Amino acid sequence: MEHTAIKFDNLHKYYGKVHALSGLDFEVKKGEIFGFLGPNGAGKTTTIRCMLDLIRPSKGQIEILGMDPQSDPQGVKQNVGYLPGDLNLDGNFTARGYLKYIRRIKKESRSPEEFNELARRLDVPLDMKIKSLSQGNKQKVGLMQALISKVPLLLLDEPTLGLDPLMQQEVLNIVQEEAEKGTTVFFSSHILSEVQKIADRVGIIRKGVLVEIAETDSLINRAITLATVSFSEEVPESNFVHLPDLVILRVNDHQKSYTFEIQGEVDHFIKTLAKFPVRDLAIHRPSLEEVFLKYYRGEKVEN
Amino acid sequence: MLAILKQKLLRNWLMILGWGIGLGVLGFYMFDIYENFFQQNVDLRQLFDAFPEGLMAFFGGDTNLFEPSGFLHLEFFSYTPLVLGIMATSSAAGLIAKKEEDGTLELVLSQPISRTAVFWSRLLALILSIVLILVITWGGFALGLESTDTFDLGQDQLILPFASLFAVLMVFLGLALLLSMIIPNSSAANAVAAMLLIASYFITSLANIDESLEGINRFSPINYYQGGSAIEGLDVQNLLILLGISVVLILIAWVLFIWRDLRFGGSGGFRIVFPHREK
Repeated sequence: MEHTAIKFDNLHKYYGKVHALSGLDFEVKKGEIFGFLGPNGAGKTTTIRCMLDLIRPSKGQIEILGMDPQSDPQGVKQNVGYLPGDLNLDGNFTARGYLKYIRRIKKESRSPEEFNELARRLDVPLDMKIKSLSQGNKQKVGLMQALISKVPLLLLDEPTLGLDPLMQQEVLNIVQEEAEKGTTVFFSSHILSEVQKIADRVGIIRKGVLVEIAETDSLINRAITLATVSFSEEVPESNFVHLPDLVILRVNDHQKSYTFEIQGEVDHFIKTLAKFPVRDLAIHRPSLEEVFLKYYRGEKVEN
Repeated sequence: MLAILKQKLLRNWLMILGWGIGLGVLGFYMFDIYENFFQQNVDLRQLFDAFPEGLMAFFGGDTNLFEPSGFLHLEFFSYTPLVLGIMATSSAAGLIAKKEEDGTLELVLSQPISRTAVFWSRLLALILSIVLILVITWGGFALGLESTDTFDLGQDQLILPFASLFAVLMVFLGLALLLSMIIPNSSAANAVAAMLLIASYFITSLANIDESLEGINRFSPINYYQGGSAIEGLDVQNLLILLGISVVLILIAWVLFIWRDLRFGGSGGFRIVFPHREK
């Protein structure tokens, strides 16, 4: 049985002289929630559009659920629910009319009960003209159309954009429920706390290059941790200098107070501290946002 | 495909009724005008004889204004390619490209429907809209014809200039559609297509009075348009030339649409770019 939902093989995309994607090479497993992160213009949307054959790769291959989007675009699209990041709906429809139109094109959709339940959860104003809806409500209509049929793969580009915090949470719940039913979710977001909350793995793209791919927890664990320790008595620096992956950033109060930078797991560090009379210990674990900002700034890449 | 066709046709109903009824009413009263014209035959003959030959040629060559075909050509069919042509170029230039520009095509094409189906269903809806406009207009003419005895014409004969009009409209529709696939801006594509339509109209009209334009006139689609004279017999060869050109233009536009990247704002899509694929 095939365990890969999405596979990129040396994917390149040029816009004239601009190299928008430079050799993307990674896989997304079936049933996982994959967070695709990157600053504006990094290539996230270009990658997603290549997956739907809206634009064509200049080089390389993509495989979606075992299908090539270029040779079988309908097959791919039949199995994908897509929410664009730059959502533009035909404003002359009512929300209900638009969804009905999409259902007719898609030919396969959820039962009326499931449809109504989804509309209720997302609180979609179905009978209003789309052009008179707020950005948040348009986003809900966009989400409804992406979820209008039960598909094995959801491609969501900024799914919570413009939604209030309660609705953001509801959307994340829906996404998680879909994943629990076996749907693979590939989504991009700038709200990293929500990526951290639901993504099994994340990929970070910068200037068209995939600079990191890892399980969300492991990415955070692998990152640098800051620890501030106060001792009841002087503890010479020599006790710490030999420890691997540990850097002493600051020493204060006659070697009674230290600030350390720990790379990776903290277990060894804690065991070392246990040998001394610790008065206070503060460990600052970076959030995904802090990890991500390092990639944003390019620190990690250059290193 | 049917969903898109139906939706596009429903969107066009105002355009269909507006143009169709407007031109149909004009057609209905055309015969009243002709009766008045006919009653004043002698005076008008003197009037037209006094017009410069060049002016008369510009508006219809050597057509006899006192024959139904000549009269209908001068009063209606001589300028309708221009009027309806502008409508056709504007609609065709925006048919796909405008949907790309406003971003709505992205969601449609992310559904399990091919670019080919989107292209042909939207195009078919536009062609059907034009046919309906012409049918409603013809209906106005047919009703007008019923109310007069002056014209020695059958309603079926009246269909023939509409067939010629349809064919020339298809050429400019195809041209605008093709240009919108190449020029990365639907308004610019429309402007170029409309300019070529106006140029074609003037070249063919001026060729009636200036023989030196005969060479270039062979490339003017309006040259193959019969207008009112089709009432006396449709030139099937010219009709097929026009339809043939329009089919070629539309096919090239279709191939370009399925071959190129969809255009998106901000991704470098709105420029003339020929994508390359390295092997």
